[in-house]
Amino acid sequence: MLLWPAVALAEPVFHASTSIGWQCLPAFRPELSNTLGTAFVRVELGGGIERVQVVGVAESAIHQGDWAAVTDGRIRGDTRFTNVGLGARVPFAFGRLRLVPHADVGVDFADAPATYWFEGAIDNVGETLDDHTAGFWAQGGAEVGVTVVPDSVDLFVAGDAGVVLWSMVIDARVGLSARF
Amino acid sequence: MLLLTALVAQAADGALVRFGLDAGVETSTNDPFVNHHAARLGASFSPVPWVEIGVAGVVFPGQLLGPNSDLSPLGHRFSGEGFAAQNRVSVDISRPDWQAEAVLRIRVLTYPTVAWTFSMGGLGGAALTHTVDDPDALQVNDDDPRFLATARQVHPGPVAGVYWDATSGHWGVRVRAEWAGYVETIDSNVLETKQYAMLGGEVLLWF
Repeated sequence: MLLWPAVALAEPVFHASTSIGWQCLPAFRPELSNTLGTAFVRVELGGGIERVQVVGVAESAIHQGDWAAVTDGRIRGDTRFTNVGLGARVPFAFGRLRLVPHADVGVDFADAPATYWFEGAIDNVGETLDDHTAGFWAQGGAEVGVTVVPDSVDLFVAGDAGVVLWSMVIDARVGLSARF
Repeated sequence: MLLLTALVAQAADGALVRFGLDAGVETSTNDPFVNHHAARLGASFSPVPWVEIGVAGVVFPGQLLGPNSDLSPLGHRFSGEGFAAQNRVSVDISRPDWQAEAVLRIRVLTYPTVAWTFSMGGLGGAALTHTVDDPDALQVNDDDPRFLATARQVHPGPVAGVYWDATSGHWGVRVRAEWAGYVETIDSNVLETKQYAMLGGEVLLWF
């Protein structure tokens, strides 16, 4: 209850960031080990107060692998991903350095456009084209940044771990974060 | 020594909010065989000078001419034309003909002068890319159901890049280097990951 007056008095802060990175499926999943990983771009828009922010998160990714499928709710190769959800950010500032733990939860939309190629079902064109899957997406991690424009823009590196379609993923990325 | 100073932080008030339109051209820089010239029309919303949210539509006129447009001046680059003629092959069976993108641009460096303000920043977002396959290049009949099943597709994918711009009053120009990637299927059975490195320039109008 004591928090609410503090929140009401705090200055609103808007947040926007974009980052690019590489996401991998851990090699300890043998059935996924042929997947090289994915280049992806992440965009965040949202706001809150200086210490706690809620943001909308969107990620677009293309997994590269030796073969393609999203079967049994698992990622198995060349696959397109779109993740959308909500995230919470808790920024800490140490002079020009910033540490921002965060967590995201949302929905993953994935499709592998040529699954039947590998399933020996080449005669079933059309039937297997619709290999779309939607599933749970959640991850957490932290950004470590340095302020490059005072009170405005940070350059950061970040690492995350989580699950996409019940497969564990880890990623590293670099990006720009703006606050206003 | 080129002096670039950090953008001075400013309070976000209504006077800083701007809307913008842009129009320009772009081309791919990483395909030695096929031209991917394009025209772009975009709009932007800027709540503060260091943040822009932009959307854009892109058309590739060389591909809109038809499935055999690789024979047009807007199709193959010089090296590609020779390669294709000598080897009787197509160097690229599936090509984009339009694209729609939404990006977030963050400005990190600004160098103001009396008349112009020069700056640079990074951008990231997502795009929908529509591709058309060429049945002649693929050497299949254009009514082949397997070909038709994946002849025209829309591919979601990420985009990211850097940009430099110069503005004076309401007008400006922007140069942009942007990567766009997507996964596509050709002839229902060949899976390809495409990566395009685009270089473009736009005229900006802010109001």
